[in-house]
Amino acid sequence: MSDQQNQPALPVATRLHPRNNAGAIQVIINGKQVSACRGETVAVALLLSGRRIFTQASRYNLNRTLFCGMGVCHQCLVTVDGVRDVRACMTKIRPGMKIETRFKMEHSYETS
Amino acid sequence: MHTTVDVVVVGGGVIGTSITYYLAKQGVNVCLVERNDIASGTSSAAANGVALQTKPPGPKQNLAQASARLFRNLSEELDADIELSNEGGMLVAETEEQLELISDKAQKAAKSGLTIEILSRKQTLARQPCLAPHIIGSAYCAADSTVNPYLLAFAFARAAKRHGADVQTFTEVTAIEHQAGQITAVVTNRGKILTDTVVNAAGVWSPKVAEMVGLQLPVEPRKGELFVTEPVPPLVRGIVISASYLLSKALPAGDADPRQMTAGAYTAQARRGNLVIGSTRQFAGYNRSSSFHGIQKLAQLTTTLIPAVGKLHVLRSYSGLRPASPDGLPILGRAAELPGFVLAAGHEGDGIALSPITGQYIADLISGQLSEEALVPFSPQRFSN
Amino acid sequence: MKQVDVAIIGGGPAGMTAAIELAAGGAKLSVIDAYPQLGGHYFKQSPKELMQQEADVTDGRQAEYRSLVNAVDKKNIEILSDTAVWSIFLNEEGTIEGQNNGRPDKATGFTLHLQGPHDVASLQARYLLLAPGAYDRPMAFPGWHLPGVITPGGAQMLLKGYGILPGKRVLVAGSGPLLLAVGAGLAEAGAEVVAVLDAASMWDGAFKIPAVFWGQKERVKDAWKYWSTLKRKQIPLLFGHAIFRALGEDAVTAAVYGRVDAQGRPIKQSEMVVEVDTICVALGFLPNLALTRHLECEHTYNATLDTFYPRYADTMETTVPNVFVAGDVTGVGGKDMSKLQGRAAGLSILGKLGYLSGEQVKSRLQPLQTGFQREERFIRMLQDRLQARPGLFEVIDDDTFICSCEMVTAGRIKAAIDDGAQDIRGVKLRTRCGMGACQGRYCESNVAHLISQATNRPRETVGTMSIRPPLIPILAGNILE
Ligand SMILES: Cc1cc2nc3c(=O)[nH]c(=O)nc-3n(C[C@H](O)[C@H](O)[C@H](O)COP(=O)(O)OP(=O)(O)OC[C@H]3O[C@@H](n4cnc5c(N)ncnc54)[C@H](O)[C@@H]3O)c2cc1C
Ligand SMILES: Cc1cc2nc3c(=O)[nH]c(=O)nc-3n(C[C@H](O)[C@H](O)[C@H](O)COP(=O)(O)OP(=O)(O)OC[C@H]3O[C@@H](n4cnc5c(N)ncnc54)[C@H](O)[C@@H]3O)c2cc1C
Ligand code: FES
Repeated sequence: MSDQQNQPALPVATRLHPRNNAGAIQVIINGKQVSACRGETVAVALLLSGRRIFTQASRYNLNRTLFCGMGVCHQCLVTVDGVRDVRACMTKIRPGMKIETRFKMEHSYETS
Repeated sequence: MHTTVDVVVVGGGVIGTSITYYLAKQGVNVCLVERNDIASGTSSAAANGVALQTKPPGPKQNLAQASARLFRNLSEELDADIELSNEGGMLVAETEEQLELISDKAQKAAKSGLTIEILSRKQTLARQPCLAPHIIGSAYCAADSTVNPYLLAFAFARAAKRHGADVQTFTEVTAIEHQAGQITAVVTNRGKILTDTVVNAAGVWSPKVAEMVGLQLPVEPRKGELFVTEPVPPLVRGIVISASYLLSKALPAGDADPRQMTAGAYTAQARRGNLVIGSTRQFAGYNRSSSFHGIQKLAQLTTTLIPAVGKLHVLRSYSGLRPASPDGLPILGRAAELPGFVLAAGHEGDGIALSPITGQYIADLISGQLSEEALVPFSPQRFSN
Repeated sequence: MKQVDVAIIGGGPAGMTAAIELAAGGAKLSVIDAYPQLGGHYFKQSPKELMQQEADVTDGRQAEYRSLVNAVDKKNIEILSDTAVWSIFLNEEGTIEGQNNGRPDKATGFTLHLQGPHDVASLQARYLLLAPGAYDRPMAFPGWHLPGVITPGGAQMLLKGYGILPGKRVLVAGSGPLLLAVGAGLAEAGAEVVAVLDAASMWDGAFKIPAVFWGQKERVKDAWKYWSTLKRKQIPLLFGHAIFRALGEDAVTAAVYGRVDAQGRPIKQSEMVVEVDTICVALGFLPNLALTRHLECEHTYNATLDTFYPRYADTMETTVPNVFVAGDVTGVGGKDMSKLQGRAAGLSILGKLGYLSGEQVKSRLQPLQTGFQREERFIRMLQDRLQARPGLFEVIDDDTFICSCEMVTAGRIKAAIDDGAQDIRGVKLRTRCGMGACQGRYCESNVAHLISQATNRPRETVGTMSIRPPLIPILAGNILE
């Protein structure tokens, strides 16, 4: 499980411009330090680190990730500094921020 | 639509659907008429508690206990998942005074056969680790449970249909024809139904239905606000209620400034994982809007009791109208002036819990298996003077 | 609690223009916007931190944006960015005392509750201007829930706002003018765009074009630029085409698309499969109705676009007194229409506040008329191209997700309808569709269609998702006293 979380695939999303090192900050994604850029959102940091899936519900194996990119669809929810269900696309990263994606997580309570 | 049936039930909430089910099960030719959809009234704007220990010892608690017995095999009987969960309920005391109050209630309940354990602070926290350390004890009732109220109503309606009941949704009762103390027909916007027995299970709208036969029914809407959080892994076991909730619940109609909003902390986790957090109490007519003060009050009370809630998102607030009777007891039985008119209303904040037994008793009453005397504490006649 | 004359919600073209007008007239106001920078969806600004390091990717709009921002700055308007309005309640306390005598009416104030980094958690305002814009209208098809399917708006946000290319091989599909812009933008930025599919035929609304483009220099220029980019990069722009299905296990690996008829019905024989890692798809826009619904403004149904819009008067006032609207929340107007409406709303509110006389308001609204007429001509053409095409729903099968938040498939929605549900509420209670965090913003249009089709009743009778506070999820710990 943690393999999936910590050995992301080659990123599909890429930066268009070389990053300016002055803006570089470190965030912690699933326990690992990842370098990102001040001003970016949690969603951008996740996408650039190669994580296309932000959460996975065990029901139907439904994968969730950035969809609308503008705070409306709530598909990009992740855990940030211990707070669950934070919209990754609307949350700016801060140095040392702890971001957690969730796999096979509990969002699976069957309903009729 | 032009039919003849034995009984017309007005209202498709938990009460009306339950009555329809138990009638149909007995082979009675029954038609349920609901102006919107099943569970479109208060029954889809409620919390999920089937709590026994919150009821005052006496007729109401006895009724609730009888209802709880019916709940036990209800999922199998209705062949439906109603999200019943038997995790017990806990009344949490934060002060010595509250502890005394709940201990006292536990003793009284024991006399009528309801077991309520008084747990020490340590036992309480062991059973419910989410609680704040300042609590001093609790009353734990293993017989308390939770259920999904609107799934319950749907399940009753479906099972009733399987037993041959006619369920007419999106059909409004507009008049009830009667003559010389006898009901002859129910008029709806989609036609007339001939019948001599009508059950008024229209919740907070039951006074309007009663007016159709010239009766006054003292049921008033008592608004309650609630909110739900995002779904989270198991956090709260069963029901958690602050002992102070009892005080807010106890305030009957007509007390000092009843328009004032009171609130008590109720928390229970729904199957999907959302916490259901309630609720306020207020007489505010038929207004159903949420208020900032309501949401804030509930958040305040709940985070004090369960600090982890502070880090959860409020997903949605909503509110419902409890059908409140003057003495807090439901109104069950035939109208003296018009025996074909049966009342099943005024369940206030307990209608979900009391729905199976209400259905059973009203069905038994109509089919003659239960005497009027058995329902005396709930008799419509108790308000006549 | 802080008190202002006017709270403007949404700092896009409509909100900014209104703010400038209102401040010039002497009103005290706050502009609240959920994004880090003003500008809304047309100007899509990068956060300040990123702007210094990135080349300008926002084409010719930057100058217009600069002039708006400078005007806002000069007027000392309070801007609450990164801040969302999560509820608005009518002031129980009644009127807010004003500083200005002789106000024409005794407006009941509103209390706004905010979530953001600022100290201001709530705000009282006598008038509201709602300019919350729009968002991409989702198109449901098998596989649309797969990671890699994003909205064109989302793609544009990543591209323009953050300098991020969301994918390497991309299919752009749906309907509406944004597709062209996004396709061209992605291609310029280096993505391999396999095609741009528009469900509208080449001819939809075409006969209106000559009249429409009168006075639309900017639009003609933009369209020409996007179109030439596609030409240069040899990207097929296929009219009368739509996506049928997205394929992939964990994420998108391919798309199936083909021709559709005028109703949007798929023509099966024309099916093609193309390997892609990203699909940008939307059917135009949905107005952001959270605020107007929350405030219980009346809405009317636009059958051409299959959308509800708030009702409003010429003054831009809604059916709820003292609540005004402007911009894309009122229709598919575009940037210039949004600015015009923002000005009109600003002037009307100045009149209400007593800063302008009725005569003054009238004489200043008058010159906006030619602009309104010009934009309305354009909108009529746009509506033809964006019109609802019920056939597009035919690709939905029983396993297609309709509500991703609560994982509800079309099959379960059909079962709920069989069980007696006749409206959105009934489906919601039976399936949880719409009970999730987005409050139904992303399933309403699709579930409404499924119900109206299955029950054979017009869309406007099957109801809407109820919007209840909080309008966005908010931490319980943040609403304590
Ligand atoms: C905030 C809140 C929390 C609650 N929590 C709990 C709890 O935890 N446990 C518990 O046991 N109870 C709880 N309750 C109470 C419970 O919800 C009610 O007692 C119960 O739902 C009442 O059910 P009912 O069937 O009588 O009314 P309703 O569900 O309101 O049904 C009445 C129906 O009659 C229909 N109707 C009205 N007029 C007509 C007409 N003329 N023709 C046709 N149809 C008509 C209406 O459309 C409606 O559907 C709560 C209530 C609230 C508001
Ligand atoms: C996704 C998208 C992409 C577009 N791309 C183009 C394009 O490329 N070219 C083009 O010509 N036109 C484009 N348009 C159309 C154009 O953006 C609009 O016509 C114009 O921006 C509308 O302006 P507006 O002021 O009405 O709203 P918008 O510009 O949409 O701004 C609305 C603002 O309101 C804020 N907001 C909403 N709700 C709240 C709340 N509750 N609390 C706080 N803030 C809130 C939002 O953060 C946003 O900044 C696009 C529209 C959308 C929706
Ligand atoms: S991607 Fe839609 S809310 Fe974040």
